Amino acid sequence: MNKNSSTVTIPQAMKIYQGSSMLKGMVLLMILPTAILLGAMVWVLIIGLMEQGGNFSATVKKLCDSSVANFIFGMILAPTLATEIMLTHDRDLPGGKFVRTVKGGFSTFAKFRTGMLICMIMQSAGYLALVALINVTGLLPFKWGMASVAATAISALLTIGLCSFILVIKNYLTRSLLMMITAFALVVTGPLSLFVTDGKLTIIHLIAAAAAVIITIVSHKFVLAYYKKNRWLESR
Amino acid sequence: MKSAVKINGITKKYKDFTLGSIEASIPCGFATALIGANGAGKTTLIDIISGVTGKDGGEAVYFENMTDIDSDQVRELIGYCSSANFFPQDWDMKAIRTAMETAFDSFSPEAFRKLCKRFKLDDPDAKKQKKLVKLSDGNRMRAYLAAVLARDTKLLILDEPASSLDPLARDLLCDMFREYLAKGDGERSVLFSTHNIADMEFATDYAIFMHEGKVIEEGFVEDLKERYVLVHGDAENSAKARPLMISFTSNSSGFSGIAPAENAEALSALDTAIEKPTLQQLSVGILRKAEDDE
Repeated sequence: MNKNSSTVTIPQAMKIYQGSSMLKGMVLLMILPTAILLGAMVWVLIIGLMEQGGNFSATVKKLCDSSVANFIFGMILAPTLATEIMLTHDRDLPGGKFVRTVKGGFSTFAKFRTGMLICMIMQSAGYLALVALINVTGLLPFKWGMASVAATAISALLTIGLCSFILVIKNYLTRSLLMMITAFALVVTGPLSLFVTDGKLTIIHLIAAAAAVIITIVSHKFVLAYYKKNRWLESR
Repeated sequence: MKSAVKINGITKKYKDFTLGSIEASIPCGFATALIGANGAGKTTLIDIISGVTGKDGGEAVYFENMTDIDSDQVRELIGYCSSANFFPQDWDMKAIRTAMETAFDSFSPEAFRKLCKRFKLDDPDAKKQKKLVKLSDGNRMRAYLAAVLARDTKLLILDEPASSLDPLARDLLCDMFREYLAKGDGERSVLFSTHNIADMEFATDYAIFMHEGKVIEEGFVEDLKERYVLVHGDAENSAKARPLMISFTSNSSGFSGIAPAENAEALSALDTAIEKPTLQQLSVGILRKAEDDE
């Protein structure tokens, strides 16, 4: 009857914490930003078309030149990432007590967080692939093309890594607000940097990408250690 | 007597509240009620025993020889359910089943389906299901109870399971406690906290009374009823009776309250009516005395 906690796999931990399979959870998480992206695209195109008297190519050209689209797709991703990072199942939040009684205890929580990290990366990758497709097909070309997508990918990873440190703030409201603001601020740093580099990816971007990977790993481990020591069994 | 849980000096300190040091024993094979006013420490004690909250000192010994609540062996044997928000509120019965069957080897999906039917909840296999957030408080609690009762455990720890249930559902819960204990052949136990003492009396074998983070009285309900008596008397005798009683209420026509059984004879001499108290009356008496003693 008794299984060792080490037998709880990451997909199982995700099932315990989300009540559905890891894949279903990931798809559900992707639906929202994708729907917002498509909705925003249609909305921007309609506004543009109205302004350009129904001329589609003029509208697309204007949008491309304005570089607005470069920021919109990153800003859509920011709240989704912030919400996912916030999934720490505090003891007094719904489900918090349940997950503290399950097989594996904290180690199951650690596996869930690792699963969420994988989900966030996969979700960002999937979302940005869709964005890249929109760019490549010419449906909505970006001012700096694929460099925009790559720069947003770097800032998305940086957002995941740096925002995780905000989890040490105990007050839920302060934590949520700061998380949202920081996520929005960080996710636009990629496209913003292209203004400085004249739309080109440079060595700075490469260094930032490497740093983002390291920060993400470090913050993941740090948050788990902090949470185990300070928050897992505490309250009030 | 065997203990399902032996609590040895458990303490927990918060800024505004201190629990303990708690010494108590949850007898094996019986249903134990944890009784106390709001803020007495019932939930904190239950959460510590269930491994939901950490403790500062002391230990809990489970099933006579196990002390590590973090071990999967102990977790599998204990079914715990909190009074509110036990599961994420966007879950439906299917999600609960998916999580529970992954989280516990002792969970039976078939038993869960049957319990959902008994509690008049959505079938976990149904295509359209209501999320917990859309259910009433009572139905949410039924969903939590169905999930926890669908496990083959040796100890149920339930925090205020009856508080949001209607009288019929409380009656059903009492029946379920009895069924659960009967199936265990003396090896299963239940620990629950409650404010609905009158409704849960039928399901209570043993009672632990708490006040301000301390255990102030404990014992089998029948023994407690032998230890205390319920007293009614006329107003003219109230002044003489009062010192013999642990709790006392009076009005212009008379008085009533709880007294230690050894004072029954002296109280009878004051032309009082002596009765066996109900658990509800006993609880009010014991808790009122604790408040008066502060």
